[in-house]
Amino acid sequence: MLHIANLTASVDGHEILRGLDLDLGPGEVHVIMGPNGAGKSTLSAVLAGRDGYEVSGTVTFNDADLLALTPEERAAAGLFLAFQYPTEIPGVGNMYFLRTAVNAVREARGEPPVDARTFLDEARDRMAELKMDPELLSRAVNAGFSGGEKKRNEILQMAMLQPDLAILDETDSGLDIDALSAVADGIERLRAPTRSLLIITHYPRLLEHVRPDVVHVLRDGRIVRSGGLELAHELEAAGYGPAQPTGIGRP
Amino acid sequence: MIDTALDALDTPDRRNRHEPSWRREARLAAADWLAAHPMPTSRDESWRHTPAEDLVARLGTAEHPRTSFRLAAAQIDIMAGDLGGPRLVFVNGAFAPGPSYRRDAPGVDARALSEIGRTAASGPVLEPDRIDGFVALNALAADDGAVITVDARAAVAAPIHLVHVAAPDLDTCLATHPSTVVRIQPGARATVVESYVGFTGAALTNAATVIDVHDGAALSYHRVQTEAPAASHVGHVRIRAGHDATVTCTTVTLGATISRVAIDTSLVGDRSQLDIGGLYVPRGDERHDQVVTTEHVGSRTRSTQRFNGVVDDRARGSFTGRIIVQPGTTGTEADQTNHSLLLTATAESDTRPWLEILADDVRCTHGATVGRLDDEAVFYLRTRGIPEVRARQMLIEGFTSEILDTVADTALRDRIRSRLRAKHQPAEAGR
Repeated sequence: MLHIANLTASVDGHEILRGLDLDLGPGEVHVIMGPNGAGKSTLSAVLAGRDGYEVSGTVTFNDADLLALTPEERAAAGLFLAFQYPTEIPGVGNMYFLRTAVNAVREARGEPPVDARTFLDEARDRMAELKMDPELLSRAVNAGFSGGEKKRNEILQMAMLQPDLAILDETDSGLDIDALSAVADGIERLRAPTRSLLIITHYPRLLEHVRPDVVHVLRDGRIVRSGGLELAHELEAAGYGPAQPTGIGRP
Repeated sequence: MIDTALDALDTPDRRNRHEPSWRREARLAAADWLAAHPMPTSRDESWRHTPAEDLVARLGTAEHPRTSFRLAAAQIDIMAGDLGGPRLVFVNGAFAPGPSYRRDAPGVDARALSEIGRTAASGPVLEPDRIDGFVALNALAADDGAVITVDARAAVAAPIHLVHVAAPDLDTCLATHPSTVVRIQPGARATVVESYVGFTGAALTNAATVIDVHDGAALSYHRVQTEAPAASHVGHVRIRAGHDATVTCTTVTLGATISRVAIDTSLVGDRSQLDIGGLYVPRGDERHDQVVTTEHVGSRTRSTQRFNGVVDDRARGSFTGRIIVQPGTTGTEADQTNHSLLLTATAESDTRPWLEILADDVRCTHGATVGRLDDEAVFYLRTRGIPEVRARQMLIEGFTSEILDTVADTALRDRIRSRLRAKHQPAEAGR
């Protein structure tokens, strides 16, 4: 499903990802943990196609060369990024946005647009599952939403777009217990044999709800350890340890 | 150019025309005014952002329309819409009964001056200290005009629609002077829409509208200009609000190479309220200027001015927002915002708050921003599968919706929205 080999990414000559390798199979849930500045958000940004990075290496997604695609082509190919800080878009209605997104992806795949009625019913069902205020559908995208509402709105978009691979960038941060469990339920509900998840998090809390297959530790721009859920617990108890001396791990 | 206008007036049918005495007096007053005052130049404070000299030069070579031009109702439906209520159509300033709709609207008298003849009741007089050469020229040279009266306490649901069509000749620039008088009698409620539309070609429209909203009345007034790209447009709207009157005014400028719209308002009565919203979207080399004046004369009056501009290519969009609070008033509230979205590095915007607060008991705010499309928002939409061109368009629409949402009539709002979309599509697709 997703194959990353020797991925590097720099901003203004400053190297953030330094030869990252990762393989994610269909239906698998992988977690990436790591200290601040390890490159977690850069990884999600590069995978989603954000401008401003010099990138090398290969990323293959469903047999496509992901790095050659525009952000919208990546979405049409089945990639979804849940933002750590979802963008507020005043003046653009949430329902209009969601429907435009769903139909844009359908159009790119050669599928007919979904009609307004079917779309609305579907959106309302998904919102009820996420315990979202239906009023949020008629408001502007994320504008004036609370932190929890923004994160639920990300999961709502994911539920409507039904991606093959969802990258969740610290979706659990800043959530209270109720919001966390609603978001976690929403993620769990999307688990499917053909759908993979890449969860970036600081906290093992979310992993009580969404059981991962593999836990990776990202540090200094590359994966330095991989293991099962027990690795997350070990990190929680012992921390990531002192920073590696400069030079180690570099060519 | 004034000579040209006077020449045009000096034809047999004009000399003998059956017009009400107030109109004749206004013509004479305008002629006197023009004899004593120069035409505006861009050195005049309130014309600073309009190439006035270009407009005056164009007036000098323009001809007064002498021939009529027949249009079908269906054609006007396409150009300006059918909003469901009575519709009066004027082509090159002359009333066109054919494409007009005579729909029965209880409490509404909507007629052309040419139909009313000498029987018309009193009309507005020229206000010498509030006009400029273009307004005077309109009063002098207008061939016809719309006169709308809504009876006291009438509640009129369907919009009263006035359509002014500029239909240029092939090789000469025509100057037309649409004129409108609106009276909303005490306690009445109504919506009046003025559409300025045009066919391709050089035309200069010099429009003037005078609106009186009497005590306790409520008016929504929307002015939509979608003339041809080669057109020039000068518009003047004078609004007076009585005690407890409520006015919502929207002006949307989509067409014309040079456009200047002046909205000059006075909150004369106590507790009157006035919300003015405006949208301008110049592209290419267009210059679109909006000059808005709100004068608080009564006490406990409240006003807002909210103008948003989307400026593309090498165009320039300008806003001057003047707020005058007269001495002796109390409890005045006035808010003003002007937000500009520049789509290119060569687009320009001007914003000028112009406050004259001559009383103490005033709460007045104003704010202006100039920005570009939010790259972060474009990226966010693209990650959801929305192509870049469409994403940019959605953000532009979002920026304009703050103003458009104040247009309560959904048919009109959708119409404006689709025109806005059409205006931005070609340039976006080329990027």
